[in-house]
Amino acid sequence: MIRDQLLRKQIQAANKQTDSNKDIHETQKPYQRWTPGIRSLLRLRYLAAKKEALIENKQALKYDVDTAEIHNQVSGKLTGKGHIWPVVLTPFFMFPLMLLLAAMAAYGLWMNHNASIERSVFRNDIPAYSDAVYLLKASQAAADIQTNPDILDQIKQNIEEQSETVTAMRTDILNHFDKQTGVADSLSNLFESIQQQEIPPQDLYKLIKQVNDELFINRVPYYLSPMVETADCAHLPLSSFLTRLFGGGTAGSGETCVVYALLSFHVDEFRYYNNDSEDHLAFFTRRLDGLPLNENVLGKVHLGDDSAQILLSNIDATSANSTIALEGGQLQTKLMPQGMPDVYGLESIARRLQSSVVDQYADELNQSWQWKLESVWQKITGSESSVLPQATAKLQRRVADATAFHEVQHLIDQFNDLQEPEWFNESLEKVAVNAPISPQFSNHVLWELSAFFTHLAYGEELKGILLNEFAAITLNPLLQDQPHYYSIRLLFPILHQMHLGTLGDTPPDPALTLSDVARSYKYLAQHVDNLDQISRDAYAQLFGTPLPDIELTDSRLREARPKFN
Amino acid sequence: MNRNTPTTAKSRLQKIRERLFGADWQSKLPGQLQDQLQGNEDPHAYRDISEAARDRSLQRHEKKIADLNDLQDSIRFKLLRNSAICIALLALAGIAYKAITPTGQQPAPESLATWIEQQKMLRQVAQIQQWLNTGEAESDLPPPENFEELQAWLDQIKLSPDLQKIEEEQASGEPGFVPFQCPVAPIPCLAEDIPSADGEGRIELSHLVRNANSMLVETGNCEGTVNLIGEYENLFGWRQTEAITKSLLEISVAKCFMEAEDTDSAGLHYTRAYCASVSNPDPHEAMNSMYGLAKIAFLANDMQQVNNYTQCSEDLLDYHLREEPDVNTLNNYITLALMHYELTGDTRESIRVEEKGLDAVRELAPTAEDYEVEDLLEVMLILQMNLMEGYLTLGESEPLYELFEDLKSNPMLEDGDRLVAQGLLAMQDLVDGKRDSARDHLLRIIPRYKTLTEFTTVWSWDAFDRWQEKTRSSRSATVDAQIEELRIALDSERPPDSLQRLNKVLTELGGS
Repeated sequence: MIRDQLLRKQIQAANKQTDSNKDIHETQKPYQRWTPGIRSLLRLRYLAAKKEALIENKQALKYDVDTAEIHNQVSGKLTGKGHIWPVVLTPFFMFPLMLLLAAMAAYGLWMNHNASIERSVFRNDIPAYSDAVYLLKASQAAADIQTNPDILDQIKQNIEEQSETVTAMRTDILNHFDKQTGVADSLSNLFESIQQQEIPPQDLYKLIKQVNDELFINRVPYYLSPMVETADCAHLPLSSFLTRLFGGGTAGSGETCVVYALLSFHVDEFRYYNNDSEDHLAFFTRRLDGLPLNENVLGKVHLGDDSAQILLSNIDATSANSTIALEGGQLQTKLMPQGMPDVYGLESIARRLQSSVVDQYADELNQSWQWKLESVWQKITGSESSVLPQATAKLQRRVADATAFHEVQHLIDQFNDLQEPEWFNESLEKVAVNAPISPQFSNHVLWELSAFFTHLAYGEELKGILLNEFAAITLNPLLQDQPHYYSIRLLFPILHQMHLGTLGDTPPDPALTLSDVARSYKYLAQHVDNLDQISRDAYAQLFGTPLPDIELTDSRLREARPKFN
Repeated sequence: MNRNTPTTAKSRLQKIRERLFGADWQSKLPGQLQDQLQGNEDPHAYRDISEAARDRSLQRHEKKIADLNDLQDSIRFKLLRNSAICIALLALAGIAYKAITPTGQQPAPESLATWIEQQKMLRQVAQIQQWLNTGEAESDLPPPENFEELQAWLDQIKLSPDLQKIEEEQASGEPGFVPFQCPVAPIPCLAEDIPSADGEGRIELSHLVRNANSMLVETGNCEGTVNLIGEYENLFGWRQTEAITKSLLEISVAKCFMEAEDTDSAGLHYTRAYCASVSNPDPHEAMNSMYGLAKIAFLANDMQQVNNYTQCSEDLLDYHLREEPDVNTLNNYITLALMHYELTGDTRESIRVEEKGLDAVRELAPTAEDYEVEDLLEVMLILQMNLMEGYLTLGESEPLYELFEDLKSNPMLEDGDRLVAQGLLAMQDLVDGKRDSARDHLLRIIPRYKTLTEFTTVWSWDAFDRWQEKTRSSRSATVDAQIEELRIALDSERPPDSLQRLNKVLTELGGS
């Protein structure tokens, strides 16, 4: 229709200008006013209409109709009335418009390109860099203990090549941030330290924090976290593994080497939690590097850091496992470590606690109108439907929410003196017989204890699942070097005794044996609904202060402007 | 508007003719045509001209339409061509963009991650090895020798549910487990024989045990193994957490010397084994060491010392039973009974300690944790069957029957063992001359034996065989032959003619 209107306008204009017998509308000239493409379409339309007119004339035995008459006939065939604004289709308007669109597209692609490169830097380059640094260190360690001169020459040659590779990788990464000097400088400091043989892990965490702060300030939505491994330098080469495992061990060099894997994350969201008019920042991060390393934690706060990290990928994996099993008809909540029989009959209780939450989510979803609509559609299309994937997603979100409160409690405790109960050290010594109880370790256990109270107090419908998670930690003898293990040995009996009303002036009895853990777990599993209140009461009684009020004040996706400084 | 009247048409035709052929066009026409135009023309000729003109106009019209078609085709072609060029350019740009933009799908580097996982695995294996050494974990498979075996080995490790409890007791130090001291036969322990260094158990030691054992088994090279242990000791030093490993290794060496009949060296290593294990709440290694020392005294005909060691062993078990009333301790009463049976030759003492063990099991079972009950019932089963054998050898039929009733309520009793126990009753009846009762037992045994798909029993007939051999003269040849038939028929190897033997005895007793 628009085409017909444009064409009519053109014919009218051309007729005023000339009365030549030659039909100018068959030529290109009158169409030059339009933008390319439109020209051809209009001309084709004119030719089609004219052909139609000529055919009609032929049927009427009119073989010699003049051009003006033909134009009249063509105009009569054009449909569409009313006015349009043909200027938009003129080159004058269209070319700048096209240029603008092209520029916008190019800009978009360029930004996307930069974002992809940036993503690739964190996804590939930084983990690859830490890998290359490890290989370099391993070669240097191999050179130190190698006595065969021929092999030593070969290793030295390798070291030279690896050193060049590391330098090149480092330069490439830093070049990417040449306009964000804060990021580049902090990364440079970090890389410098990683390449050194010895740097205390705590110093490295400070450097990592500086990088993360700079990324946040510069609105780069990524996050770095290190995995630290300390070993005798002679054990750095990969080849020493089988010998050490099966060959009776290899002699160490006596020197200690620290190796760091840089794990990278995408910041999906960041949130501010307010406590006592102070904001605490939590990053909700999703694992980006493809390294086959698992930290087995849902959230963490490094000592001295003023922000918390929630590890969404780990949360997703643990939540998905339980719901996938539920879909198969059996919920396999795994409390006991591999190889240990469930002699106390805890796993059936754990399954009940876990499935009640997932069932509740599934029921809520089944009642929602969106799901009802979707079900109708799925019936029409004949596709199978299950509410479980959505229930899983909800469980994952909710576990992340609850984990954030735990981590925020760490932020609060780190910078405020948490009053240590008098009985604490004595109880800890009773239970932590296999762990070195340094003041730092003791503090860490206390912080975890405090955070577990908060975790439960803000656990809402997840309290049963949290009880399972806590039990699984302290039932696993391989986690005996972790403060969490001992905090739960204290937490369970405290909650148990609190509910029984026996947590008085005498120090709480820690759970020394698995049967103690099992007894408290079974008792608490019967009183899941009250766990939040018990936690608050116990916290107040033990620490002499109410459990902190923590409120989510601000939640933004990564595009939001940070107010961190 | 055109008015197409005949007059007008005629005048228009005139004009066309003048335009085409000139004003004197008529004179140029042939005579006939001139005639026609001047009034005497032929009407057919005019029609021909008109048709020709119309044809020409028609042809021009058709040509015009054809030209338009050509023009349309040409424009369409150009439009398509230009569109294709534009699309191709966009596609090229897209491909170029794709090529220069990282996809993010690069494979992750593996070296560092592999190394870190290796360190974790080493720690895990070392931890499990430590638990195995201290009896807090069990393994049905030998230590893995290559990576392929490792995962299967890890998967089948069974951790003790009381792992943590045991660790606490070991590590707490005070009061801890105070080593047992035997006043009648004190075993001197040098400080260097008691592993005391701090630190976690090391996986390397499992290789030591494996290497040493293979050296002992394959070559019988006891001295070489001692040297190997010495080398390791100098190299690493034994730690407190590795005491059980050391004790087991010393026992293996001592047994090697016993095979070589070098009792002095064997005694030295049994002593070292005892010393390494004294702080262990499980008396198993200490008991085995004491048994070895008693055996050496027995070989030297020093029966006083044999009695001392036997007494010490019982005191040791009683001490552990008071301190550690658990199934591991109770298990050792079976060894103690064997010690009496083999070394002091006192069957009554053997029965007494087994009755003591059985009483202790009965006392412990009601308060035992669920996971312990099965093990306790297993120990109970062995004690019950041993005692039945003991009562048979002493000819005490009343407690034998009572114990059989007791045995039947043990849920661990398998069909094979049940048949053996019923066989013992039949034998006792044969000895007592109760042929009818013996026949009744056989009538119960035979149908059950037929339906057994598998004859499995924990039973060993060694002691019975010795008794039978020793007391053969006190029985009639017929009864002895019948007892012999039953014993062979109920052997754990399940001879193919078992049923015939059972039926033969039944026939002799008047059954069918």
